[in-house]
Amino acid sequence: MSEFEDLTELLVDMDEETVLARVKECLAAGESAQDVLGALSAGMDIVGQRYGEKEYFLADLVMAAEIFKESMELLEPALASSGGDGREICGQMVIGTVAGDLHDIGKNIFVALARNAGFAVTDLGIDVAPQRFLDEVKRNNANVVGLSGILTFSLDSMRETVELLTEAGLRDQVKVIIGGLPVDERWCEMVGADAYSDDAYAGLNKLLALLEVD
Amino acid sequence: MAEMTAIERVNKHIALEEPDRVGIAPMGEFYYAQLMNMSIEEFLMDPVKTDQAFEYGFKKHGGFDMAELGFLLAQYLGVWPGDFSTFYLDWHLPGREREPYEIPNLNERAKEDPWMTEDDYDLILEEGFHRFFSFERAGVADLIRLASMGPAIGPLAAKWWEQYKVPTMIDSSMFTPTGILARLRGTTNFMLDLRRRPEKVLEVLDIACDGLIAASLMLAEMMHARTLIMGAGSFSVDFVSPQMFEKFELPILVRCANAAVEAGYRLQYHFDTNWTPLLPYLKELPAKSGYLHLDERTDIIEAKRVLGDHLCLFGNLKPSSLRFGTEAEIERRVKEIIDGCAAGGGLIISAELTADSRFELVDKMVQTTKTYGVY
Repeated sequence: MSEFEDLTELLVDMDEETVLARVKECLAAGESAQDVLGALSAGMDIVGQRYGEKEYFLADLVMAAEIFKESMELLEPALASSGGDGREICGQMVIGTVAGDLHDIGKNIFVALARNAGFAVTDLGIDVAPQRFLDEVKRNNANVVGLSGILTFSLDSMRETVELLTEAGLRDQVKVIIGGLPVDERWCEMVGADAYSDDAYAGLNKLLALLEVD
Repeated sequence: MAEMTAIERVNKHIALEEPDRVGIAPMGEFYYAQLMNMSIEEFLMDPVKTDQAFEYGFKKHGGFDMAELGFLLAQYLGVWPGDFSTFYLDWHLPGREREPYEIPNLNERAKEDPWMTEDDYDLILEEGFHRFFSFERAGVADLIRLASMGPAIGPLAAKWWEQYKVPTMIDSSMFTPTGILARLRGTTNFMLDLRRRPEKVLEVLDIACDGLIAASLMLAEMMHARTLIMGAGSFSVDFVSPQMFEKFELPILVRCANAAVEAGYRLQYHFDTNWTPLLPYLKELPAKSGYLHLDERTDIIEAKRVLGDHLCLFGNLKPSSLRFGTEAEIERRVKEIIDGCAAGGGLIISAELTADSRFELVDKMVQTTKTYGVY
């Protein structure tokens, strides 16, 4: 049993006030920030699983991600002074909502889950031009590109982005995952992506399987 | 059975009686602009042009059971605090922030930069939603344009109802405080507020509701409306739990719907995303008071089972299937919906068309309904 199992449970219960108080208490007591982070991370995993099993809903995922983010802000100084968060980075991801589309709720949730799963994420925001994706893939030496959108026009932007990656000779270096409510297998084929999902949690699992990460 | 007029057919469906055939009423909006090669800007900003484009599409497809008037302009330039108003929200319009042939697009400003902060709940209690009215994206010329709409819409509506015997689909809005709060705060922040300050949210919803109902009814009168659209998108199980829906949204929907029905209006309940587990709650909406728009994320056959004796169903082909699908897929899906939902009446086949939907796929939806949907 983890020393901080209560923290895991508090996060799963989305008890924001108590989680933050407990994190502060742990830090004040000189507990290991990495261990505290591990307990919170385990809580996020449970929340994600419950969301996948339709026991929790998007609002719950948003709340848990918010508490996790606030906790990270408290932990970061201690993590920085003790050599980082101790977690292995499982991928370098560049993600954004594609050109012409301004929707970002689903993308933001996916980013929160991906960070918790160990990805280093560069979130480019909304209405991102194909060239910007290309530039950031090069700059970050990314191995994952996430393209988000919910408008049918977004398919064209997604396809242009993938084509640009191909022309630049980077397509084999990256796995491309597309996300948004209307995306399906046909979209995935037309865009030339490797995976698709209309659900942030399921999408992350597909990506982890694609990268053969446990 | 003799062929009915579209008005007779839709009335029968809403009354949950079998007419001559299943109804067909695509929600086309900008699709019709594309059919005429008209820019989205032109289509959006002039109700007469909107009507021209719709009539062109209507005739090209051999007729539908509902007509779409130029209500879009009143949505995007409305001075009322609606989900689509450029005076309240960060809508990017064609010919302004976007190219003339691009559709309007909302910058959700989802988390970091919302129009409304958490402290603004108290301001709404003091001043109402009009506190958020802004000339940042729309101006006085738009107000003048909006004021000229009422007189323009009247004759257009009369043409469809009286000359063509086709009812109009949506003439105006029933604004709900949940809808506008979700937009102003951004959906993400609003979901956090439901947990962090539920009592404050409930207080604002309660106090704002009557004002929004009054504003909605005033606008409806100006627009010569018969049918009002009322949405509930952010409270499906794609967003919140059934418990949250029951606590925050259901009482508001029932209150707004009852007010519209008491004032003599019909409603389009516009319920995007997944409502399947919540369908039993919708029995609290007034019976036979309009039609329930469902998109493909709700199981429409389950909706028929649960609500078949309560509300007419409207939907639910997947919009992207009408751009990327095949004619065989469209035909199969229309037949599935008819087989599962047509018995006893109360079914209008529809889809929210994207501007780039393909004519032959939309036509397959229309013609399959007209032939396979005969009672």
